[in-house]
Amino acid sequence: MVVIDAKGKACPLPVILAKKEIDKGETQFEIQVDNPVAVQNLQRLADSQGYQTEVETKEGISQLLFSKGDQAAPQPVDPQEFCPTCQGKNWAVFVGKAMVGEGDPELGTALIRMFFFTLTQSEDLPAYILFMNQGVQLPTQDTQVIEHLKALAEKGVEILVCGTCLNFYNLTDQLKIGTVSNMYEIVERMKLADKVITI
Amino acid sequence: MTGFVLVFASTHTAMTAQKLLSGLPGVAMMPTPREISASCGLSLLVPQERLEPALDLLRSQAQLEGLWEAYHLVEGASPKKIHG
Repeated sequence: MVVIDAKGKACPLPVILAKKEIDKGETQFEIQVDNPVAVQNLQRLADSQGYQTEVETKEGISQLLFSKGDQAAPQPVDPQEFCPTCQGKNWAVFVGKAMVGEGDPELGTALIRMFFFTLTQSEDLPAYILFMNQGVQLPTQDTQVIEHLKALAEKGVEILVCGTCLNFYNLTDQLKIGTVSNMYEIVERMKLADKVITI
Repeated sequence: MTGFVLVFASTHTAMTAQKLLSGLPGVAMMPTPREISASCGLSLLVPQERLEPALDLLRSQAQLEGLWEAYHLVEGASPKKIHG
């Protein structure tokens, strides 16, 4: 049976991951999440798709067993619909270079470090931080930014780093934080976000 | 937010100081806390165990004399000036 680990994943990612399994026609699968809101969202999804769920929660981790009912008919859905409480809070930061703005690179580097510092002090965090092109220098080489990204990842922010770019700049084996990703996943996160802030 | 913060008269001074202190682990660039207004927007956050070496390095640079201040940040209280 397929087991999906969606612990630490920001809303609406658990719903999207579950929907993928439903679309594949899986008759039974399990998804693990670490917050009650995600459990509710997943149950709403299951109801809409004709799946039954069994939930078991231990020490803050919930395991939801999805089972296909007789009447199950997967239909296209908007994942956001199942996440009423997180609407408007789902935003992304796209980092396409290793500094803020154009101009003096030294100042730009100072600004990007201050940007991530300030983000770690904030209550409203992005769901995703996406690194592309020269931006991949930050999660590989910038000690201060790496520390901030680790703190953000611990709070559930998903960090995706363009694998093509890491490869191009010869930085693949130096990634300190984040997940090696690709254009498909990065564009998918952009589409899920209510707003994308480009640095 | 708590810690020690170094603030500077200008952004250029702040970046010179950042290079000077780049050998000290844990020193981070941060926006100057809102409570400290009379300085440029770029500050350095210094972990307690690096405070003395950081202050010594800055004091050793005659050209930085009078261009920086150090504050102790305490949650819920106004920052306390400890140098400058």
